[in-house]
Amino acid sequence: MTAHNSNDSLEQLLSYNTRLVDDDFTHRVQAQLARHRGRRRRILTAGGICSAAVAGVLLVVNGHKIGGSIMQAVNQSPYLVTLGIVALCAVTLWSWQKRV
Amino acid sequence: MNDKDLIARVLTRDDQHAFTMLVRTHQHGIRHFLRRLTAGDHAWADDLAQEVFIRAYQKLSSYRADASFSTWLHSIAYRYFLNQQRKGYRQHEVSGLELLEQTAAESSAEKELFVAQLMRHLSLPERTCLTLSISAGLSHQDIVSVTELPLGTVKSHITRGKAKLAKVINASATQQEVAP
Repeated sequence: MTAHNSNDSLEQLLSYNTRLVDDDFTHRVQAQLARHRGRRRRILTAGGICSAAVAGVLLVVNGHKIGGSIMQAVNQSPYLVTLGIVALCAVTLWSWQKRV
Repeated sequence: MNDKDLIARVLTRDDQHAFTMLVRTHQHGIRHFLRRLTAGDHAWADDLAQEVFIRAYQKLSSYRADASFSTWLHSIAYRYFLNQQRKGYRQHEVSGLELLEQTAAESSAEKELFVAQLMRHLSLPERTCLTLSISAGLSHQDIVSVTELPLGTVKSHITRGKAKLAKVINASATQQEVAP
């Protein structure tokens, strides 16, 4: 057997002969993906609720001071505060865009 | 619709149907590749393949079209396999009987069994490079991007792998001739 022939037969032997496509596999991937997305949604929702709750409590307990210090920061360096808000929005948008 | 269109649909509209189409198109190559890497452990290979598609979905926004989508999937599969193997999640040697049971339903069961046994004679890098080159039909450059090995090393793994397999095949042919 020549080297060329032996290479050909090796290629034939190693080729993926059976067609491996079945709906069962596809469905399993879809189901796992749905679980993953559900879990992520729950985590995001829980995170949002926690943040809102903490912010609410802080506002109720120490509303005047927080409001005062925010206004003070805005008066002292309005550009920096605006830049901070824009950066925060950009990061939030970017993380949402990443989706998963 | 080609891969690029489907990927664009997933990214812009979060189109689940488009992603399902991608899974349908590429499961053949990825599942076969992982079956070769696991040397015939079909159940583990399918579990890995499932996770590969989930990871691909998660990282889809980072996919750059400089390599084909198939090559990109193969690199995820290879890295995930290495990672799982390193963690020792499953290091179970598939017996000949198990292999036979797994492949019995397939038309070319005998061949699959033989190939799975052959893979055990190769080191993991040889198995990977040879499978990607011969079975998946990837170019040497694509194999470099999947395995992150230098081009020379990839070529030598392929050459050495072929030589080893030829030796094993010849030895088994000689045994069959000698046997009554």
